[in-house]
Amino acid sequence: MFPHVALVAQRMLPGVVIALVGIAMLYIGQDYQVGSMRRIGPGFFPLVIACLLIGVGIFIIIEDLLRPSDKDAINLRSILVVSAAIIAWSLTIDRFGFAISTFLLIFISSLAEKRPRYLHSLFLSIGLASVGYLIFVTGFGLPFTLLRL
Amino acid sequence: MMDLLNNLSLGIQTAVSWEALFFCFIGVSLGTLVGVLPGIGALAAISMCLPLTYYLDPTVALIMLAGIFYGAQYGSSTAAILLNVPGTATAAATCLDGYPMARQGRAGIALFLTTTSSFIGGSFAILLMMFFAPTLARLAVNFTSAEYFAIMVLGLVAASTLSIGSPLKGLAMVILGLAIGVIGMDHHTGIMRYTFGYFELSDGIGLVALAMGVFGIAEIMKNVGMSQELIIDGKSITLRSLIPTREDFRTSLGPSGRGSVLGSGIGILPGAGPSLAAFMAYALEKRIAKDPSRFGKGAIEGIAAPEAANNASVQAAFIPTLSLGIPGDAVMAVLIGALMIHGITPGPLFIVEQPALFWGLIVSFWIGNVLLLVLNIPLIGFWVRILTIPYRILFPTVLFFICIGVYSINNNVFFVYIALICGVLGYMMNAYRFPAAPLLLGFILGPMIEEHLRRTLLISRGDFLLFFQRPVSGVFLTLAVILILFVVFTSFRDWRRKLKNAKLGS
Repeated sequence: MFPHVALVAQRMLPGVVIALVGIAMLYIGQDYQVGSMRRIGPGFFPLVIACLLIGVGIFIIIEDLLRPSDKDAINLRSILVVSAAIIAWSLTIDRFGFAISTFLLIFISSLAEKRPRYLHSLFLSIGLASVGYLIFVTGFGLPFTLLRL
Repeated sequence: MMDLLNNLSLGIQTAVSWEALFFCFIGVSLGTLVGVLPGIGALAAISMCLPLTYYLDPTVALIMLAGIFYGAQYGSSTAAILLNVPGTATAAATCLDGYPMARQGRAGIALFLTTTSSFIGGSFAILLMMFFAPTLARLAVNFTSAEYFAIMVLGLVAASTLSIGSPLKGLAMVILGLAIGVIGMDHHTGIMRYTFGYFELSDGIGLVALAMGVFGIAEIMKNVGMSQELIIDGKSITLRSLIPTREDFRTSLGPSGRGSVLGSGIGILPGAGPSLAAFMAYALEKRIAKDPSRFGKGAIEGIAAPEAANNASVQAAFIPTLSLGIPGDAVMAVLIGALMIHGITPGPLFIVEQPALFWGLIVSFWIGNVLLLVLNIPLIGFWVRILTIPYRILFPTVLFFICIGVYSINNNVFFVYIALICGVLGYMMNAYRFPAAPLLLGFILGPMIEEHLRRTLLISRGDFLLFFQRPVSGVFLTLAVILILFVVFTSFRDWRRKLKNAKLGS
């Protein structure tokens, strides 16, 4: 019984999420003025879209219940590793400079591989940091510091 | 006729400067590169280059970005033929007969013929554009907000329903894109909508962050860690093995012609993109063939027609984009976004007001297509070797460029985080088979649609019927309604059949 319920719930997930986004839009947007037909306010368009989202979400729930659509397995590890790499880059770029944040980005993202090769990552980050510095800072004048400790 | 010659000479002056030639070359080479490599599409590459174009002249920027787009169509057939993996989605139809040809040892011939067919398709559509786009623009000069609203709505509905896969999911993504487009300051009243108190969001979440997230970061999340070293025998692709027999070449001409016409037609339609064009051209060839059973086993018609069609469709998509300002697909929407960054809004007056840009772009298409012919036939061995770049090097490199590109929007990490969120969203959409292109289209057209809706209602004093009283907008909106009804009808028919089957089953 319970595995079955879980399966159905999972099938409904995309449609439910879409409908929930619509409901959230309605909730947050209730302060925006809808205006009159003659002069529609900033709340009119969001209201229409929110209703459309809820409607299409319900349709998708029905469709997925009747005909389960294909779905890829979700690889949580690669999502987390790539996110961690980007967050590490963002946290360090202003404080520690281009070289260190590039190294962190490359190194962390290489952890997504089944067998990471650390030496490769080191060389790649040195190469990218120097080529990138030449292109973007010297060439395009982006305001990065190479190294700030 | 004199007009055309004058315009062409203006275009040649624009496109044959060192700077324009250089960036055209960069664009088509980069396009071929990302086209060859599975896992990175033209959209990701174009959005990665968007920040760089802040520093370029708008004409040169557009020449480069457009070059990436059509260059990718040339490159994408390489992986399709050699690996049975389309380099970008638009080459999926080319796998069907291209890969069997490679297994028969005819890979070189397949590569040669897809390139010539691509060239034929591209050239046909450019010619069409030269004559058709100015005419269309002249017709559209009298369009009011009502017409624009109607055309955009039709474009969105068509983009979601005519794509491959569930039309309902496409529709959902268009609407979600419209919703994301609402974020930011409302220009009429100055009210912040859905900014959650972040001042950075007052101009919206931005095209670059969204596109890089949904098309760049999401693709990396999907492919990273799955990398296997590809083994390709690059040495067997010699220059001599490329040359088809006269018989082969002649067989490819008819399908290329038919593919060009079909592809151009589909390219002009809003919403229907090159993937659809390629598959329809393939289906057409199979239907009119004397012996359809040859298809799927290495038929030359099966690679020539789709390749001509997807290139024609890509070039023809510029017609509505540049003459009406209405992008037919997500890539065109990004290009319009790029123009708007430079303060140029495409519309019916675009060709008259920016003749150097328009005709320069057209001439650059010719130059680019000839460059691609050179890049893809004598230098094919180079691209084949590119395919052997291990992903463990490729993906971190792309990630690096994405981070820098998004950071450079306003030299702030805020939008890097936004892009990351969009990346996770894109990954989930991909996993559940929700198409990403309609999302981007909705995002870009959304604010324009709202603006035109407001203006029209202001003029009509709140009367919605005005949309149907004006003939052009009436026709377009009616078409949109018919398309939606069609989707609803077919879904219901599907559902009833499913229910009946389920009852019979139990």
